[in-house]
Order: sequence, then C-alpha cells, then structure tokens
Amino acid sequence: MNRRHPDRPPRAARWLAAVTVVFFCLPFVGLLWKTPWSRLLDVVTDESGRRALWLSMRTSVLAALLSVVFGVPLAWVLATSRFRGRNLIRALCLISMVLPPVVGGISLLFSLGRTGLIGRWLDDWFGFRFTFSSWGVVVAQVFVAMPFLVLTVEGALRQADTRLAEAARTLGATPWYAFRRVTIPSISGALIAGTVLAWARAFGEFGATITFAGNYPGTTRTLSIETYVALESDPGRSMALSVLMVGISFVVLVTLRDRWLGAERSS
Amino acid sequence: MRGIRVAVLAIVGSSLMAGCGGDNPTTLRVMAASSLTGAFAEVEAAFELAVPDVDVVMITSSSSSLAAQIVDGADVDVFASADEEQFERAADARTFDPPRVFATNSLVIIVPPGNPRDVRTVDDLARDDVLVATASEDVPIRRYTDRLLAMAGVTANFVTFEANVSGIVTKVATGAADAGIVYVSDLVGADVEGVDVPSQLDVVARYPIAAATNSSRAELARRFVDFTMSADGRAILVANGFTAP
Repeated sequence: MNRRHPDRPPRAARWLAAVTVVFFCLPFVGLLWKTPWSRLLDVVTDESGRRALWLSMRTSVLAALLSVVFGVPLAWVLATSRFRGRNLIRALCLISMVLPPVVGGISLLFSLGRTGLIGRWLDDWFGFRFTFSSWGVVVAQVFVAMPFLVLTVEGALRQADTRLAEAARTLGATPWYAFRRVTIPSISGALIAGTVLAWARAFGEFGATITFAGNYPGTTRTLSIETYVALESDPGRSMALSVLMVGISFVVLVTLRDRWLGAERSS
Repeated sequence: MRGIRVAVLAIVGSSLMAGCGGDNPTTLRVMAASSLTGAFAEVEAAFELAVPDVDVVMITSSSSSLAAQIVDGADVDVFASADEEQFERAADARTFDPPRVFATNSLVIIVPPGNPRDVRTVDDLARDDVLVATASEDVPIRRYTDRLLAMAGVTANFVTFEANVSGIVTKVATGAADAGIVYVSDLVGADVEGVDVPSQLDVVARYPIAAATNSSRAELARRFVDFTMSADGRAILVANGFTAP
C-alpha cells in the first residue's frame, strides 16, 4: 500500500492541490470559528429547527429514491440506445444541474404550479396542489438532484463490460433480469455514489424550493430555508443550523469512499 | 480553432480585469427596501444625470436583510428602509446621519388578475379557500400586515412566508396564492389587482433614509438623500405610488 503511485504528480501540482484544499476548508473553519456552539443543541431540539430537519430528511430521502426509480432507466436508455436527438434529450434532462435553481423554480411554477400548464388541471380536477405542499418540495428537489444520479450511472454503464449481460441473455434471462442481476451489481458503486450525490443535492436545495413550493413551517420550510430565514433575524441560530447541515452532509459524503467512485485502483 | 482560442482568451482576460477594476467614476452604494425597487431605479437614473461622474449601485432586498448585511459590515453609503425599526438596527452598527422620512406608503390587498376567489374584504383573508401569501417575521411588510390583521381581528390563512415584498407579489401574480397584503406602491407595474383596505384599518408605513457618515463618500451620499427629498425626487416617488410627506 505504501508503494508510490506510478503517476505521482510533481511538486508544483501537489502545491496547487494543497491550495485548493485550503480554499475549500477555509470557509468551514470560518464558520466553525464564529459559531456559538452552545446553540447547536437548541436548533435540533427547538420546535422550529426539529420540524425543518425532519422535513428536509423526509423530502430529500424521498427525492433520492424517486431519482433512482426514474433516473436509472433514463441512464440505461441514454447509455445503450442510439437514436436521433439523444444528445438533445440528455442536455434537456441534465440542464437543471447547471441552471440557477431559481430559474428551475420559476419553470416549475409555470408548469406544475397552481395556474401552470399542468398544475391548473391538477387543481381543478383533483384539488391537488404542488405549491405550498411538501410534494412541491420533493418535486423541486428531484428536478435539481436527479441529473447527478443520471450522469454518474450513465457514465458507469458506458464503461461497464457488456459481455456478462450478453451471456446472461443468451442463457435465457429477460432484459430486466439481466439488468437487475448482472449489470446493476457491476455498477453498484456508481449507483450508490449517484444516489448519495442526488440526496446531498436535494438536502441542500434552496432556490427552486422557495420559488416553487414556498416557505411554511412544517410543510415547505426545509433546513436550508430555515437557515436563510434565521440569517436576518438571528445570525447565531443561522450559523448553528449551517454547522448542522455541513455536519450531516459531511458524514454522508465521507461514507462515499473512493472505491465507490468507480475508479480503477492500481494498487 | 484559432478563433475559439482568441475568443476564450479575450473572455478570460476581460473577466480578470473586471475582477481587479478600480472605482472610477465614484461608486455610491445605495441600499433600498425591496418595495422601492422601481422608484429608486428612476431616482438613480435622474441622480446620475444631475451629478456627473457618479455611478450609483442600487442594492435592493427586504429591509431586514439589508439591515443584517449592514450589521455584518457591508459597505453602504445610503440606507433607505421600509420601517424605522430596521433602520435603527442598522444605525446601531454603523453611524448614519439622523434619518429623514422621505416617503410613506399605505397597505392594499392584492389578488391575481380577475380576482378568481372574489376577495373583497380583510375578513376574506381568513377563508379556507383563499391562500394568503406574506413575508417572514422580520420583514417590515409582515409587521405592518400583522398590525392591520390584529386591528381587524382576522387570522389570515397564510400558506407561505416569502423573503420580501417582491416574493408576495410574484406568488399572487402567478396565481400560486389568492391574496396578499403589500404596499400600494407595489401595484405600479405589477400584474395584480388591488382591493382597498378600509382607511380606519390602514397602517401607514414610514420610510426613513440617511447617509452613512465616516466615509470619503459621505458628502455625495448626502447629495443623494437631498435629491430624493427634492421636488424631482418626490415627483418620482409619487409617480410610483408613494406618498411624499
């Protein structure tokens, strides 16, 4: 394990890497330094903080699951099918990743919102509304988070060895069976990484949520919105909430170990 | 290929230079309450015409958010707040000239075009089928709204607490919410209809403005405040739905 990597970067590259590490760590050092630690317990025990945390947990986990259910088939199609306009479809499905979340929120408002293209019928026929409901939060989160899963899984599927799945098919497996039992296990690392990334993005979602779903305690005020609201009235509380969010996301990302990133290890 | 490379170099180069650009002409940083956005854009244009070599940078957000930024050390030359409380909060952290009330604003109920839920009175805001948008606790419009509702003895059916007045107007204009209470000045140019509030319930919002002292630009900042209070400034404010005291 201690053997030097054959492609060890030169000193200059390592220095630049160190600068980058400092760049990413410094903001958190600043946050941790300023945070009133005594208040950390308050924000997870007082009603408003607990409600926001619970809402964020529920919605982000659901958003991650929905991203898997709908994102894996999309990645499968994008990775294996050749059809005209595939690149356009891919770009459309991934664009929310780079779009300002507010733009996503506005688009959702005009499509699924109460007077939107589809939303008005949902309201008229079923009395169902995404706006100002937790479902709206989930939709906003799925919209911005799913591309992370699609991108990760599609990349892995493209690199996956197709011969095993072909062998399974010649032995009589249905396409679904071969995909589930042969292909998925071979890309499980990427699938987990994609799911965790999508969850993390959903957990931190702010702009699309407040624009599309609104901001109401218990139904749409997620932890990130709670943090933003507190910034104006009670900065100490806002910092404690920020530390909580950093902590949760950090713990989850640490569990995303490098072997899940699908890299070939040359040890 | 060569063309692309040149273009990329040009973009990178100009962005580097923008990052290091100097303050020339003098930049005046004016923080103004969200409800002043339209009016102050016109005040800015008129002031820049009247005073050469000044670039007014307008920062608009909820007064509570602006006050929080000032408390946090944000660079500011003029602060125009939608209530006196948020101004005092900022003035505790940084020294300002004594504030002058340059505008007042009254409240109005807004509904989407066509008033789909037939909202006619303040009492209607309590109805189950009327979704009402307002702002978070510390935003001035929320305080004025709460005061009005308390006087009327109405518990409104709030469904969302937006970050500022513009958020309320957007939610109502897009029909996501059925009603909201905002300032009369917000009706100007917005795709909403107004429902008058009975005058005995109306709460008058008072807007203080002041120049920050202890800055090399304090004199210029005072000129901006004077300009806002001048006949020209008043005319702009009145045209935008405010009342000039």
